[in-house]
Amino acid sequence: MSALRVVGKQRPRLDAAAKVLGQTHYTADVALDGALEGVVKRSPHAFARVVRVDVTRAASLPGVRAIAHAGNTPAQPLDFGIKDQHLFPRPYARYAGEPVAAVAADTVAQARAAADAIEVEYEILEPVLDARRALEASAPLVHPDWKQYTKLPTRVLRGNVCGHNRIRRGDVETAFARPDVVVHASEFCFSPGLPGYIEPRAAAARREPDGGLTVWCGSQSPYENRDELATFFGLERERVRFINQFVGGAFGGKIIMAAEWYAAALALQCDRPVRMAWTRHEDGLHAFPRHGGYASFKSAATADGTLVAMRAEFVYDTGAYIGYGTGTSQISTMLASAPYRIPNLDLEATLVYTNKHVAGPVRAPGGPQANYAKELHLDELAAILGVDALEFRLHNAWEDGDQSPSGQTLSGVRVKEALRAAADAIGWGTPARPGEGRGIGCTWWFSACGESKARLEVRADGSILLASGNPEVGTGASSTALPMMAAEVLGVDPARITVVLSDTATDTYDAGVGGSASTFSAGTAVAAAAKDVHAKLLTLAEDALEARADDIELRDGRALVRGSPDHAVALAELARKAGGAVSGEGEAAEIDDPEFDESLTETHGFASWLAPSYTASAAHVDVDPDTGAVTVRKIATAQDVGYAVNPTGAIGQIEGGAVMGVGWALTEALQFDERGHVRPDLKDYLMPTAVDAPEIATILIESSPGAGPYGLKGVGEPPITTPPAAIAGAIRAAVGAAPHETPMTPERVWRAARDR
Amino acid sequence: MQPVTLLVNGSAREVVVEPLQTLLAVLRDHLGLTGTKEGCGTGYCGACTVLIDGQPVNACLFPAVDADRRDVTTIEGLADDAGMLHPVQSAFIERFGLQCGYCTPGMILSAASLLAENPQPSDEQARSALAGNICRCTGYQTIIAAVHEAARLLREQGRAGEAPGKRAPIRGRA
Amino acid sequence: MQYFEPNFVDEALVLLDRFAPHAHVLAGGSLLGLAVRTRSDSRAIADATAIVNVKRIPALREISFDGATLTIGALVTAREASMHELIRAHAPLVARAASSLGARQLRTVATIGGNLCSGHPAADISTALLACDARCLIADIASGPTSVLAVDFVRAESDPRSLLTAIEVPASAARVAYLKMQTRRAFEMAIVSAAVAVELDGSTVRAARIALGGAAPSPVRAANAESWLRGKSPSGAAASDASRLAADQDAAPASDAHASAEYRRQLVHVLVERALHEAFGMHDAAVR
Repeated sequence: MSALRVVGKQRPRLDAAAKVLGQTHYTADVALDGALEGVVKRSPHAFARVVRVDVTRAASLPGVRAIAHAGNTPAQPLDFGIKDQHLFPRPYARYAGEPVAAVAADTVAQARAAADAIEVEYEILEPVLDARRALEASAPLVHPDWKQYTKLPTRVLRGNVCGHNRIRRGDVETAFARPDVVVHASEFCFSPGLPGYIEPRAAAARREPDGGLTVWCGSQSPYENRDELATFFGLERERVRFINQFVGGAFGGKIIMAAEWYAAALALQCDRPVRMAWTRHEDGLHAFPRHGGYASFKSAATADGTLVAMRAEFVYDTGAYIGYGTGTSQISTMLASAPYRIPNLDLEATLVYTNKHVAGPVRAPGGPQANYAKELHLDELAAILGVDALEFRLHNAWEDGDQSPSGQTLSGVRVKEALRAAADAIGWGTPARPGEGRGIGCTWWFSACGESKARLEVRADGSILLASGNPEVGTGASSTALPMMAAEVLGVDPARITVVLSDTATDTYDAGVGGSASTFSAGTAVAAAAKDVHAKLLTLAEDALEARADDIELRDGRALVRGSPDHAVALAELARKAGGAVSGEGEAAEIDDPEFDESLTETHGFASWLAPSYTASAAHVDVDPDTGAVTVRKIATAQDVGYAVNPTGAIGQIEGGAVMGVGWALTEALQFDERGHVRPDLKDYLMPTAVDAPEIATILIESSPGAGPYGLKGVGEPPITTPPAAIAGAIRAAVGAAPHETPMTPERVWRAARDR
Repeated sequence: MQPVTLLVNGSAREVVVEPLQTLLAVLRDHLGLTGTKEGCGTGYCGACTVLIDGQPVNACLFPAVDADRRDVTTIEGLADDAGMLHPVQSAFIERFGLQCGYCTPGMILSAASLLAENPQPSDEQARSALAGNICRCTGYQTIIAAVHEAARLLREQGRAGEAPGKRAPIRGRA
Repeated sequence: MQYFEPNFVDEALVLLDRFAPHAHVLAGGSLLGLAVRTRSDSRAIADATAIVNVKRIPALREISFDGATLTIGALVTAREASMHELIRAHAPLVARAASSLGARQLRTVATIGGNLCSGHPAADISTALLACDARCLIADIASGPTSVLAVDFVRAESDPRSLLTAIEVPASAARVAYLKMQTRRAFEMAIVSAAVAVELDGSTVRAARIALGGAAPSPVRAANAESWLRGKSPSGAAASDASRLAADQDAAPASDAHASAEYRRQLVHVLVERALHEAFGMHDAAVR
């Protein structure tokens, strides 16, 4: 491949200037003439039947223009694979905070007063607030009518169980009974967490004269959202337009619609736009948290440290509705024994309803949880065997030709390389003072290629327009990596490309940001669009330059004959000759997942991983055993990224993921009181500050190309999957034991050290 | 309703506010300065940081009445009148100190006010000074690098210790 | 709701009296504004009929020292307290605690008076003031000015008609230390904190003042530990024994969502011991 000029080089983001000037528009910044203010009324009970909603008094209050509730919105259920949810309770409100009505009024104060005046009669029911409790025969049913629900045939639904999968190979019981093995068992508990984006959710909606609807929002998946909303309200898809703004962080918490629903429901009832900008507190009442739950691990190894069997069982609290909860349970069983060669496996995960918030696909769903439990468990086993934690991993790590738990043959495996790089960077093996420790953890992850479309247009006025459906949520994939790819092909400075992101009117469908898919999917589409435009420009240049395409290259905004720089024509001129613009389109289609052995799995649904990547993190901590205080000095992450199209972006994801991992591991706990009320405020939900953040070393492994453009693999999620595991191992190394419950607060660390 | 004169980015702006109306609400809704963001509304994230007489405050908690005739510096007031970025802004771009950008206006103002008081902060001092600005995207390492780069640029330009933003010609009360 | 900006203390007292018990003092705004705005239902604040913004009263921000007593106005901010030369010289414990409060944005506006009135069991400046034998000066339209020990002020219900105007701190040559333990490493109310002031007489402890935050419903003095230390020589053993007493006898912690009572006692023991080490000049004792 000829030398790349743009791709693969660190560069400032293309949206940075507007952001440092404060000019970037997020949804709450959108100004709409005559907008009403929308407010949501929420159930105060963890579980209740809504007997009656009376809006008469509320409707008569000053400034009130619209009220939406179950009585005047469509009755069909929302469909997340199990049709278990409605826009407003019909008739059950299943978590404290679930919306029961919404009001639009001239001012926020008027809307709040009206919301208070809506009379709701509740029959309060006994809630179930713990996943293990929900599995007991005597537990209340979160969905009393579950037997009537429509669902996909692949989904499991039985009482409070709304998901189940298992991967099995060999015979774990016989292996555990072998006389030549050491068997170790551990139990773990994870607290739910928040995505923690700094921009609370907001949306605005306006009914259009043609019967359509325009929605302004900051979503990870505006095209999917548009389709779902249009279908629900019986509107023609083409008449519903989602204009996505820049998003102030998402991390999986902005895939499912929230404020969009209610702004739209209200806007459809009146003639003025309806704006809804949630406070942090309200955003927390409607949060889609990272799954909390439990894990049990039992594994066996021979005296030389060779793993022979593992049984792992996860029970996840998915909250009141299924949403996008299944990913966590599917991914957890794929992670539980990975990336180690273990011939006998029994890995199982169950998803359970409770009367709490709908747990969602927060960055790497199941990733930090499964890896923290697995790696700490294996550290303990290694210690029993007297084997160094790093050596234990290297000894059992996958190599090319090994199989995943579900029988997918692996190639381009980089586990050992990642482990060694992370270990080196953390100074593994350096003698430690009392209270000082180093830990290490590794895993694998998937890439994803969803549908995506792009359009690229070179115009006669010199401008170059790139339209992609992929929203810019902060990673820089859309705002920067995509134009870099287009610029590479067109031979221009990426800053010359104007990016139009995520306006469904551009008809550039994209499945959305999430699941480590953006640069992969949207990048594939952009690469194809660029190739299309490149070919068209060359054809035009052949004519203009009277030369053959083989002799023409695109460089510095011109088409020129190789070797004769004066024999050139500007791209803008070619566009003029073409009638004003040269445009091309590209698409990414879904790529088939690799083959695997389905007979090893039960109702799994995600047992084959595309273009897998390998990640290892090592952590260096100091622990004060008398207070349990943990200081994370450094985290080193080695990640197999395939190829870093936008290295700045890849490093940014790894550094951000490391600190997000520090928070999940040590300080972040989404707390509920005994009545199921959540405490989402930032004085209680403690995310890392600059003082908490450690030094972070990043090693990009680029020797194992994936299936994405330039050989890239998905990058956004792996960075949070291994730091918590490494921190747990480091704490254990420092004081002899690490807590089996997250977050590993100082009190828990103190107890673990004291009680070991 | 209280009449208040806000000296925002060097210009006097007369507004009428309610007693407990926050400076954040007045800046965004009355004056259309939407560069200052609301992240939590309770003083726990720092996204709404503005400078009052050069000192950082959370605008979401600051009663607008208390800003009467005081210099308020928002993100819109850092670049000079010709549109040249303030060195802190340039440094955040060049050292990759942002991703989603939502915490960025507050972070930049906090950094600018730190550098006015401490033109050459250590890593520890920089982190401690920015403890009130939560970032969820970057992991802070590039932000600290940006602070050091900004310090270098200010020194290079002979502006070390300079107060950020524009001062109004008429200001202050006893 | 009515809003007032009095320029004198007496004016403020008249207003507080007139609108009692529904008048609220607005100082830094970090607490009152929050309480008004973060109600989860939207009921109008019927019970806040008057807001009295006391920040136009210059007397409330004065700082003075008469040779024996440092007087700090109730509106002095945490930032000012951490930097002012008189406070650093004559009440260094207060300066230290003030510099650890929250983050810079909060320190710009949070006032000493607000901190004392917050009722938080681990309020930084309040805890430090207890270990300074500080007194709260209170103005009241009916009964005239009174002075109350800070340790009593923080645990009593205050009369809504009265106004905290200043805090008096007796000058002392005590050696001081302030340590606080948090879940994360910055920007958080303490789980437990220890403010210590030790006066040495040659090689014995003439007096020790130990205040605990987060170990009781309000900041408290560790009286048993203090009286035990009197006359002892400042050693590691003395620090260990005194801190054990503080944890076992002086602390009365509750278990809550943040920490268990048992852990809080452990923190009292550790923080008091380390703070005493620092005050004794033994070695630098950071919590982390």
